[in-house]
Amino acid sequence: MKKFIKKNWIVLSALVVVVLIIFILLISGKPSVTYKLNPQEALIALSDTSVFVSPADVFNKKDKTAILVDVRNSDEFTRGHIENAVNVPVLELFSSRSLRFFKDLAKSGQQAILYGNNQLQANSPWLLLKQTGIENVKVMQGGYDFYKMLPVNDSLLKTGNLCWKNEIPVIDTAEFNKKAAEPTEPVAVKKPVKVIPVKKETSSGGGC
Amino acid sequence: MDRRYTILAILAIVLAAGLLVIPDKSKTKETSPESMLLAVNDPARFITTDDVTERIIGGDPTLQLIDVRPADQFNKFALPGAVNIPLDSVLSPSYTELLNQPGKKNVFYSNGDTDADAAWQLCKRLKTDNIYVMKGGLNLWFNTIIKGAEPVSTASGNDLDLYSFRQAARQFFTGQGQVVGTPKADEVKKPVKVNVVKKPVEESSGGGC
Repeated sequence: MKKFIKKNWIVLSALVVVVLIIFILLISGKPSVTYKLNPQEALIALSDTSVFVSPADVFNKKDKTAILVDVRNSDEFTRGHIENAVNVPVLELFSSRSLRFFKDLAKSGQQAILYGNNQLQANSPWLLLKQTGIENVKVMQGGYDFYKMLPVNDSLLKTGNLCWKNEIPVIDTAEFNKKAAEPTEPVAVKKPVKVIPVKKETSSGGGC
Repeated sequence: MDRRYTILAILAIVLAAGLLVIPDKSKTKETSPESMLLAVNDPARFITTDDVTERIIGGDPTLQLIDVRPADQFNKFALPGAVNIPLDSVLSPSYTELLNQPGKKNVFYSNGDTDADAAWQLCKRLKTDNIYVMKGGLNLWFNTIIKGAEPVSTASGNDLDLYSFRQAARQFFTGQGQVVGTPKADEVKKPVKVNVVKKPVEESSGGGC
């Protein structure tokens, strides 16, 4: 046996190296977080509006067991945050500690409500967590920028005030129909208006 | 023949087969959740409403606006040149080609910015490049460009420049010279208009290069 090893030590050590390579690749190739929803399922999950919590409900502590999660960085968190909130910066959402945190919440039937400075900042982490199978997360609408105005300005809490809703259209199409509504007069008015964009195009083209 | 050589050969073949089954990360069709976390945290995907406005007026050929609002809202009003892909059909294969045109900058927008950002995230997961989000959405665009308030007299030069740019943009979009909602004398507005014409020209030619 010894003689055999001595004779073939190159082959044997090469085999050991290959075993090591396979082992390393298998370990590193396995991501700690995987998608549980495919993109199409994630799209359907988006239409579920029950995951959006109004800042008023958070302010009035409607869900007593819910835990607030501040996804901003620790600097912003120390400068000011919602009472009893836990700081989990976006980049640390998939750390083993955070994953355990979300799992423990799920076990005890609690919800995590994410918030950032605005709704956008919490919305994308929420969607990502949702896709990786973390179900018990919600998003606070309006974000901290809106929330911190609540104690000083309680008129914001009254029903009918929807300025914290991100996707409510404010656009007034009447502003654009005015142009079409006065077809007689604008002939003179329209011309200089048209000239402006043309000038811009030529000059920007010439500059390059 | 030495039996040990046979065992050695079989072992080598088994290991070679093992190398074959190792997953190839570069060939996966999706961005991993970890990479997505980095992308989600990166504000480089956001484009301001003023930047989008400037590109529309300047006729930027690389700009492709994607309106993710429902079709009925799109038909009422949309930004010039925008293509309507409602959020629920943003992953439909018929749009894949449109979103993957080389050299195009796809800018998603919605009323706010969360729907546009969700569309961005799902497309990014499927490895679509050159996609951006208009931060603040149509609501911010409407409030600043079409309904923009005049800056206070103590405002900085930058604010005044921005205001005159937005006023010129308002004319471009609505065809109206007057400030919407504030009945002011035309003589006051007209000199402003003259400044307006010059400034965007400088800005856009500077930005183009």
